[in-house]
Amino acid sequence: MLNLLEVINLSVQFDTYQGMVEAVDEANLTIKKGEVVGLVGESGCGKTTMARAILNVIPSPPGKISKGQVFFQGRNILLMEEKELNLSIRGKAITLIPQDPLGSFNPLFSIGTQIKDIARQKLISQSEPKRLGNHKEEMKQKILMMLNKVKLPTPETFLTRYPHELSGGQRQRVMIAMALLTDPLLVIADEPTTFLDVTVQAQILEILQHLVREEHVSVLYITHNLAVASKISDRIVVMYAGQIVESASTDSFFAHPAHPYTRKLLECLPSQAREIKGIPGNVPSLINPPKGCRFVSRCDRAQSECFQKRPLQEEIASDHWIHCYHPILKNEE
Amino acid sequence: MTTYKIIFREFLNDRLAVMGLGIILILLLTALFAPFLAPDRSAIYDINPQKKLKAPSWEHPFGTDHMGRDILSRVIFGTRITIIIAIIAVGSALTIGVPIGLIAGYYENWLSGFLMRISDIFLSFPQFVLAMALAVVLGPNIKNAILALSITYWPWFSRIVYAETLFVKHSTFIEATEALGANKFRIMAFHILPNILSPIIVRSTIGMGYTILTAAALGFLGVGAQPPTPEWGLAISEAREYLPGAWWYATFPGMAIFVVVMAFNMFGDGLRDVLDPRLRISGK
Repeated sequence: MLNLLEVINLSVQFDTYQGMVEAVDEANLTIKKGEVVGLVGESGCGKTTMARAILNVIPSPPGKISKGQVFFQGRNILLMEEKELNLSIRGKAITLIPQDPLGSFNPLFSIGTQIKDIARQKLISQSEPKRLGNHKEEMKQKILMMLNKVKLPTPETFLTRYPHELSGGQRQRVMIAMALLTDPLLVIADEPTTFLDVTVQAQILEILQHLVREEHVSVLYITHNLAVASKISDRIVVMYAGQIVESASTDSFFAHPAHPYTRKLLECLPSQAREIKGIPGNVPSLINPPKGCRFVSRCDRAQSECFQKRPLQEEIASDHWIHCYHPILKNEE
Repeated sequence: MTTYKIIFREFLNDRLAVMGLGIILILLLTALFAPFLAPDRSAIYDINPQKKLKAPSWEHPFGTDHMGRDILSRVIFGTRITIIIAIIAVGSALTIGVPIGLIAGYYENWLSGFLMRISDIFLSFPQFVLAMALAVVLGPNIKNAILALSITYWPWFSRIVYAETLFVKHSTFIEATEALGANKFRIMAFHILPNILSPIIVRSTIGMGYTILTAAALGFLGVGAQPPTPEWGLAISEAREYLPGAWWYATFPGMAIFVVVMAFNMFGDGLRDVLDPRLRISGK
């Protein structure tokens, strides 16, 4: 399979009053065509920053991409002209399903106005800007079809309604429809189910999964929920304090999680039988983070070298990559 | 459409605001139909020494001035000047101030600092003193008075728009729009501006009243409208010499200023209450 997106050595920094925050540190990420990658990590570990860096919309100042490349279909997004990015990448080839479906709609305009706006900007403008009229009906059909696909009953009635008149699940469905409207190659779903309750969450995941398979798009699914990630992804990437610590195919990942952090994270998943466990300690401050492995202060396998230098990427099994000097190997169990 | 209906109904409940709107409408109609309403059209400019300083009567309900001109007709024609001053001054202040506030609020870099410091420099003088100084330098006439008012009033708009833009630009939907690849102009004009329209509308309405008052003051001090323009402030200034004997001369133009400015303020207050429910006082 072809690599659709390749993030190489990406670092993002934010200049705050307390000092320079390294929100993302030398992250590598590859998404193949048609692949669903689950990016998992705690709150504030740099998942969303990563997503924004891929679209090159880091708010600057205070943020900046200090290092690295983001290749999309072989072209470095970070070097592309703003105009070209707006025209052919953002909202077109790469779309975003945001975390907060209410806040992400402009409250002053109806759903229909906002969808049509995207359709007008992204579906027509490049090809034949003059013949807007001819496309109107075609555009509307496409919008209705998309709303149908996300299983909104009677899509026509939704077009005239305002964002606050919809339920959370409906809003997120409209967001998914909007994200898939332009036939994107990559959809970045930034915790799209976080604000929803479990039953709606299951529905949304199902819709998303179905559409992804149907439309053959690649997805970067950002979540802090390992269970959700396991359900939807082909591949799981774990982030901790701005760094990627483990990356493996979903099967290999759950069969044999090798990084101590991943291990502990999995132990934290609440199950009915056991008590809820946590990971002792806190995420290190990202202002002057530890020199070595960032998990070192909470790791029970840490040795002296872990404090000195960040472990390099290492392949411990076929397509199972890890940043750790002392991974939990298979024969240990 | 229902939203507008609700706003309209709320507005109708506010008696003072409706009264303000009514007076403003009467003012507009008066200005529009001034030639038909004024009892004596020729009496606006024509000097008529025999009728000098006559007290109010059936023939001259507001009396006559020191040149024998009908004060009622002059007050009626004064509405035109008043409205032109208010619209042009507030309009140009909007045209300058709103884009500056938007740009300064949206871009957080040296440019925004630069634009807001310029606004601050204007705001560091009392507007009236600045407008007066400008009007004197440019030469006392009504055009320069309007120009001076416009140049000194825009920082109020840029301040408000700047603050509101800062607030709105960090909304999730602006970030989402950026991720959708909308360009900066589009975001400012079609996404931020509609969201901050209410404070701009309210400020404009109250600003109209304020501008009318300032223009009248400039006229009174002799750096605004010049004789024989039937401007209200100027009329009061001319009437000073004949007080208290010819009380009607200053009273009626003064009443006109008072009523119009109050109407704009009442209307503006009512609009603010309807458009920004956060500022409402409980029990109202």
